[in-house]
Amino acid sequence: MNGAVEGTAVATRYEILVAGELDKAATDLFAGWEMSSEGGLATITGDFDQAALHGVLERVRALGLELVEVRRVRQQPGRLGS
Amino acid sequence: MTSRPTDPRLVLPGLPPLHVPRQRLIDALNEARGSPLTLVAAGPGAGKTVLLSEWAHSQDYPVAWITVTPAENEPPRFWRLFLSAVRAANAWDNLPRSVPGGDATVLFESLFSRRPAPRTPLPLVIDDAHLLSHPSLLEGLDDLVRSWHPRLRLMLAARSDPLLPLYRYRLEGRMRELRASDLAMTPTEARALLAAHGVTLPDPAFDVLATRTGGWTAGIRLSAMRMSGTARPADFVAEFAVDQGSIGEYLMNEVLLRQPRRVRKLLVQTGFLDEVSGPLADAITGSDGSATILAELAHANSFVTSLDPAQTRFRYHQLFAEILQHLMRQQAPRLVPTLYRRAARWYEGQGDVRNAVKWAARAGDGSRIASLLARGGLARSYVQRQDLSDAATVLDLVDQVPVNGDELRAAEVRTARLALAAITADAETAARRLADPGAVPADLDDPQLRVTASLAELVLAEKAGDAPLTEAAAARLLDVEASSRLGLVPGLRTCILLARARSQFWDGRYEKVDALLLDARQAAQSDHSRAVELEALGTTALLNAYQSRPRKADGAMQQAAELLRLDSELSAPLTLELAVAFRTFVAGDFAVAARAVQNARSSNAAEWDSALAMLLTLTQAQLLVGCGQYSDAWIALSGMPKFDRGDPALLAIHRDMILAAIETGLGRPHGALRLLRRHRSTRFAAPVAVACARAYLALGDLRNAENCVRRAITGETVQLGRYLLIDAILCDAEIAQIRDDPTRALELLVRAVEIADGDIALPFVRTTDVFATLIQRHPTVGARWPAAATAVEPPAAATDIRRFSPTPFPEPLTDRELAVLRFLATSMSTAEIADELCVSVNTIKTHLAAIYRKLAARRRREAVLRAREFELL
Repeated sequence: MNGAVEGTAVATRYEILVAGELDKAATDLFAGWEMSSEGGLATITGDFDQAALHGVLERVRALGLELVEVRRVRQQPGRLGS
Repeated sequence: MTSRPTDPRLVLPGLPPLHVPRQRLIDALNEARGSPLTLVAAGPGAGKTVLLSEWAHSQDYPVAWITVTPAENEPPRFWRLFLSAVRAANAWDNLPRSVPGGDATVLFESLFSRRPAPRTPLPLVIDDAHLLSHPSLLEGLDDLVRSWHPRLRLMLAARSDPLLPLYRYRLEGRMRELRASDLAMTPTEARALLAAHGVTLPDPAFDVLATRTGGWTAGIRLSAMRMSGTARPADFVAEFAVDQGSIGEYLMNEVLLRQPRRVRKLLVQTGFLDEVSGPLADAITGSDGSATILAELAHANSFVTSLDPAQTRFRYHQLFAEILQHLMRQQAPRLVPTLYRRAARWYEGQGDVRNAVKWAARAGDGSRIASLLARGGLARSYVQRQDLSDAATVLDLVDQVPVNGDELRAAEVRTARLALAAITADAETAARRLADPGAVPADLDDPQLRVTASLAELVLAEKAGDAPLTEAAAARLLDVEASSRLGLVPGLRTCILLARARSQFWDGRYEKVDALLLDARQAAQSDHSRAVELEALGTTALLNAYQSRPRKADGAMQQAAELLRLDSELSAPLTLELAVAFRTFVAGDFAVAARAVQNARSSNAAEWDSALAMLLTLTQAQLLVGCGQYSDAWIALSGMPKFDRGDPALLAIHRDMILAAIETGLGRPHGALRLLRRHRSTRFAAPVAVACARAYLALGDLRNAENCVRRAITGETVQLGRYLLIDAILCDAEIAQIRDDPTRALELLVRAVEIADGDIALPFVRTTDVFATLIQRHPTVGARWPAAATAVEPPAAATDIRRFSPTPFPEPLTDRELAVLRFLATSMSTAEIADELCVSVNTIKTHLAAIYRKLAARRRREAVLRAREFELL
């Protein structure tokens, strides 16, 4: 119910890490965001406001994927990274 | 027996007190008019519901509204609710009666391919759409967005992005969005909201508040509530700024703490309810005076809203309710099931079986549900025609009730399960259940249980449209009452008598019907139940109107109107609306008749009685035939329920007669005669003969037409009724006119007018043109010639009158052809369409050939135009 730690009404960059690989159904649901995978973990990256972020988490749940981590990413010019 | 939606899920929320209008957002929503989907996605307390509600109130056209609860996340339930919401908006005629199989595809097919469009643009708001996660449901919504009908606009409010392919919608320009950052209050809006609460802040404090809340609407509103009336509001801002935790919880607590203890107790203990009222809250908290507290709260803030103008029913804002429930679980978790049970008991005392079952279910109290249903619950919901469609979910709980060798308990459970089966059955399953020999428990000692079991059988029989079984079950019920001297639930006796009257009537056995109706009305009066009396009057009016006894029908209708006037809580039952429809239709007042049919469709009484459901469809079709809308009438008939054991005799005849009229009207009198042939040697030969006469007349076969008229008039006039008699005489007059015998024709016209005696207008209205010359030449007849009370216009609203196309209605297109047709409207080539549908180009070409033939088009563009004309696209 916290609607305003500053900036979360505004879109913020997040990385959502899930275990395993993203199959076609998953890539369909996450279309529009960046997806990558490495070492058994898949990452979905994008700019989300709170509603969109919860939407992504709902999708993770709906696909039955195991949620590993949700990270807020500090904006750096041109690169992702924390 | 209501025809107004009081389902809280369909109620358009009112605006909160001290509401600050948000014009810039209203404008944005209006601009989004051209998009199939408008999404308002933001967390709780952002102001989504209030915004959409403000917007809906500002529209010139009705807006359909659904507030989703977790129970709706199931396709059959959701689509039923969808249909109810669309129906409640009252902007769309000829809606299907139900959603067959709970299947969205079939529903859309029916809504968009084979019906005229809604009369006005119809936005449909779905609040809390994030709760919808069922894949098939989401597919259905996706379907709606992609096969978008320009008049139906979907608007979703959700706390998180719904599981729809939003990315694709964005790319394809199908969606407009308002997100949290859009909904956040601007400084101007925030200041206005504070001002409305009588709060002014110095600029520095205001800035701190704005930053801390980030413009979150609920945050600002709660802060305003907290500061309102305090001497130094800036002090609060300072404390607030320093607090580290969730601001929602903080603020809510702050606001709650300012309330007196009894108010806090009331709120926390009733936070779980969907709807609160004073007496209910009293029952749950064990105190009194809740009604005043609730009214004051609703007046003072936006977290308690009243659902009715009299301010007796209230609802909590979702965010608020969640926190209240959270607090309840924190403070006294063990008390929670007890609160549910208290709610269940209160509802049981009100005779509200539906809610009593619901809260008992939440408390996990299967045995209470069983005893509720088995002992009077089924009877109450039957008498009041309560909507128990969520009863299916309770079956598990009842199944799991531990019986422990307790015979009485076991019998109760068995009876309850039968009751549930009866409640949840549709026409098909009811017939199957009845055919099963072990279906009804035979060895029940307890008279209350026997009553419930027999009633369940009666319900099943009515749903299956089985007249003999209805009779038998009714007789058994009355037997139990007589032998055990058990007082039946008030109104049950009346309803049983009415059920008998109806089932005998539909079977064409009129002899005892009048006596049964009289008994029923007496029983209703001694039960002192106005609602049931209304039902009895409605049935009396209907059966008399149907038999063409307008004076008796009028008498009953007048008494019913009196009752309705005396008691504003009552609303017209389905039977009464149908009676009005019939009566006014025959009197030539189409507008009133159409309105009555519309009202009838929104009643859920048709769920309980398949014969009534069939009659409703027939009435609709009859009305359309009366206006010369043959194709629409044919479409309307396609929505009719089918009976496993064959249709009730009278209704089957009625249906065939309407079909015959349609065939004749569409220029196919041979088809009409074919349909009617099989009834010619039944006891309904006389009414059927009239329809045959008309068909022969259309064929120009005067001799046979005359024979039919003879047969009709000299047959059993009891079966014929005044209406058909007049129709037959006018037919005879037409024959005489064609034979160049104006004297005889005139004689017949005069006779017909005399028989009508001012009660019946329709047959005259429809033949005014035919006899125009005669009427002109004989002004005395002309003076008495009945005219329509309203102009003969299609039943739709005046704003969207459909032009009756002179060309015959096209042969209906198959599913595949319709799919191809939709693509024809785009710029895709044949090859591309083939690709999209995953078939060969040759298949597409075959479909195209059929499409062009059926639409009488020669080219693609023509086909699209004609399809639009017939509103297939």
